[in-house]
Amino acid sequence: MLFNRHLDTDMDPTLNPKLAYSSTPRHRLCLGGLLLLFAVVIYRLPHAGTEAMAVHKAIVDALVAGNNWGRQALVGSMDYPVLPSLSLLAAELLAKILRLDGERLLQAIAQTWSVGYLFRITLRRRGWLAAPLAIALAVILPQLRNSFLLLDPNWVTAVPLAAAFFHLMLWHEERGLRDLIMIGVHCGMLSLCGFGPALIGVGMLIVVYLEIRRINASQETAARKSAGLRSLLWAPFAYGAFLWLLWNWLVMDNMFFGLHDAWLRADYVPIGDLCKHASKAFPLTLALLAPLMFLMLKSDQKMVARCLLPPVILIPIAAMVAAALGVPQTGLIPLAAILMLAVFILVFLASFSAQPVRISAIVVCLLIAGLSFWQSQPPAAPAVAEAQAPSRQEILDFIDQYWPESRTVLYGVKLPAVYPDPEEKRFVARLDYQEADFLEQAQDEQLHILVPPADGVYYPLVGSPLADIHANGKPWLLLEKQWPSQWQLWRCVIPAKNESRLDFLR
Amino acid sequence: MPKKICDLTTHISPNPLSPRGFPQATLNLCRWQKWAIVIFLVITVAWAVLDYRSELLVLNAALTIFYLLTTLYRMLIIDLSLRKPREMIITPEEMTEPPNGKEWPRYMIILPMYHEAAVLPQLVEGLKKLDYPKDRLEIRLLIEEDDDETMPVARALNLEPPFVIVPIPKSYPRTKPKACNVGIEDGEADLLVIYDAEDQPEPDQLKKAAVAFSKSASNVACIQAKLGYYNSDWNLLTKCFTAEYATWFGLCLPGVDSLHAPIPLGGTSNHFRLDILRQAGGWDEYNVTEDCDLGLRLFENGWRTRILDSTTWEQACPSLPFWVRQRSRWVKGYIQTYLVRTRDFWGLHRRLGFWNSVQFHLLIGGTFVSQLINPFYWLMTMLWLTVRPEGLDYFFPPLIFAMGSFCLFVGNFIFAYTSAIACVRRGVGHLARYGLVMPAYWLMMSLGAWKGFLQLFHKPHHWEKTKHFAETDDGQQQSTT
Repeated sequence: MLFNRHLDTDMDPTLNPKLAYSSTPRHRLCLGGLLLLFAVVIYRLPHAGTEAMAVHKAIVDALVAGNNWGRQALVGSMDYPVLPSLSLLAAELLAKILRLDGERLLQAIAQTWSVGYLFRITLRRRGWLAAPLAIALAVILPQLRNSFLLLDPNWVTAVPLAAAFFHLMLWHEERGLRDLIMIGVHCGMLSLCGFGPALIGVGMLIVVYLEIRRINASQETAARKSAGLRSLLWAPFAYGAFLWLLWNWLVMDNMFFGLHDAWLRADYVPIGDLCKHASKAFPLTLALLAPLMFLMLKSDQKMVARCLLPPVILIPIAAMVAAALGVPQTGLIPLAAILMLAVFILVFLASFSAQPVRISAIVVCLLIAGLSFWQSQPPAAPAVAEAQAPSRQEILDFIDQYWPESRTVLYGVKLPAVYPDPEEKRFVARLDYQEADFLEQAQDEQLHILVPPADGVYYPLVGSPLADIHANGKPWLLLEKQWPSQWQLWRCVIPAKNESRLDFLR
Repeated sequence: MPKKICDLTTHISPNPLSPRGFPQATLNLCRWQKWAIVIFLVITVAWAVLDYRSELLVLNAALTIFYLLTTLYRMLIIDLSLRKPREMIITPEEMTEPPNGKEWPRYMIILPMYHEAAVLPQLVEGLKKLDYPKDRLEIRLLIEEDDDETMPVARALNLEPPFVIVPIPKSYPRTKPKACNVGIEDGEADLLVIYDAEDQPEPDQLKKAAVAFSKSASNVACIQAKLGYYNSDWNLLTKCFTAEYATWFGLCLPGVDSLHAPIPLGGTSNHFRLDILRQAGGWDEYNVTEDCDLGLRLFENGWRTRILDSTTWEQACPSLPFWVRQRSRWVKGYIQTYLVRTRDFWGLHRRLGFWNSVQFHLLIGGTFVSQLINPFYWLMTMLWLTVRPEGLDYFFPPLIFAMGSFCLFVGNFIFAYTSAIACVRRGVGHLARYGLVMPAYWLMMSLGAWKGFLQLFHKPHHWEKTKHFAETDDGQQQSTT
């Protein structure tokens, strides 16, 4: 009879004391208290804002104001995925009740939650000693420390990632149905977290899928017992992807709208860029892979090592591709890699009791830490790439000289975040450029269009209508001003309804 | 005529709401409930005349909150049941000796039957295979006196002990619980179990239940075995039905058990301590889901129910019209049970406590309310997805929209996904993919729910009997009743 065990019925952790989770209420209380303290510390840290936070915040503000661009930007961009925006929205609402700062609250909750999972992993392996070691690593390793200081809603991604990893480890040990479901559910959540996390999610699912196949092949009765597991495993991810496509269809009238920009950019990514990013990720990956292989071959923690392998390979790949595409990850992927490194080191230390091996493990740790310092970068956190952008006041002052009633249309996700105006008094945000809609609206009111420079930051260089406007303009647009940084302000020159062409020219 | 040990059929009180001394479904509504409904209708109509938009907004908000709570509750109980199995697991070693070390407790099996001649021989053969000392067992076939189809077949079988034919005198209401009450008025036994005519219990179920009772606390009055379907692969309906049953018995009830909440019993395979069952007054013969009512009544009186890890295999109804009839009876019975149990509204809450009361409303009230209102929300969703009518936004202010979206996109998936989980957990993992197409099945559930709800007004005690089908040699299904 099948209960919580579906593959290896003899591996029941409640029957096998070696596998049993020894957490007592006292332990849980201590851990809870520690995590609460950790959350408070995180909340109080001097965070630096990021572009991702500014854009997600603009989306949330627009949603709260009932602005249509908010709904469009929520679902219509792969760069600024759904789950971080929704989490920020929830955090803002909660913060309002608690009279706190929503962005910091989200950061504190997400980081604490994910670190909580890592604590649970370390506790399962080697008691309380491992927990402070993990904290120490978090403080020492520069990427980790820097990433902790970047205010970014993408941190939410770390929660399902850490949870999926935690349950993957448990599933390898115990083959529990609940763990398998949790892997599926958390990887499903990753499908709503953008390109990189989705790729990691798929990678983890493939690992489990292959493992189920391997077990099926090795045991006669396993195939019958494992029937349906694959549906359970993949269903949440497939549903997450389906939801995203459905929302795109509902809001943007195009199921594949969210993929469009990424697709255009992917078409243009030079191989050189890819190699550049690959070379950045390479040393750390190698430093991780070598001891991991050693663990897989020699330690008594082979299962854990097998869990670590796919993320260790996939995370740099995802980071490399995401960076080359210009998808904002804000240090999240290196962070995830280093968090896993922390666990990995602890597992390494826990695996071997012989003094020389422990010393060599510490040497490896130091080596990795050294590499980490060597690769460290200061927390680069320019709040939205607005350094070059003309200021809001500058634009308004210029327009108000001649067209005080005019509103300026902003296209895309990033641009409206630079000039947030949820009530659309002076700036009108639209996610996609629809010429017919623009012309129809221009018949009712005077409109301007602000076009950023064609540098691939605000829109893809090739195939984007904005790139076309920047280069060639339109017959019904008049270039009113171009800033030295190549920002352009165009005025629509079609006459409004009930206005003769003569009046208009006058 | 054997001597009655207790009287479970005579009305002792002139009060039509509780003719046998406890609240029964003789009438649907008590006085205050009638008044409450009248006042509610008056307010609803008056409000609609004055400002129907604000009324619909408030109604929508209330229903959305209800949906959200139901979804969260379902998530909680599913997670609990996955975390820690609550079923009582009895090992073969524990069944080698009687629980008290001397002899096995006396067991009575009752089988209410009506027009079941075709399955009777098969049933008898199945019961003979039960692994329990025959001298400690009594199997009572409760056959209606005027059932000219089943009675002759039963007599022709020349049954010997432990089989006993108990003719049920013709009297009203003509329901299964009435027959069961008649069947247990006499006879000596420690434990009792009720099976349906088409049931195939696992042979060691009685021993498991006996051991489970001996291991349980003294306040455990009932042990519910799990129910499963042996014909799950017959057609799409039986596949979905199996997924639904697997969810209910494999995930929901163990989860409810984890919370120590009242458990609505399933129709068969309920093992009781006979003396307690008699004390409690047996089943309510006017209630068409007497099992659910009994589970709650026992809980209210301080008795507890546990879930046993043993399965009774039943037949899933493979025919849609008959399935709808069966479903209509279940929903009608749930409404009856809800109304009967809430007659003494504050008393119920006092006896159950706050948290158990909330669970009672979510589990019993929530089940039928959601099945009744689901079609309206599906219609609204379809309109929103396709026509996108103007003005619908008014009824979904941001907070309601957020909750509604959660229920639509997350809640529905969770309900379907848990069906798939339940299939895997019950060992019918090949049906997991059908668990994911459950939304189509929910539509039919709502159809049955509305039939049951409407029937409550004109035929409240009518028993929509479940039809059983036999598989013929060429693989077709044939009605046997």
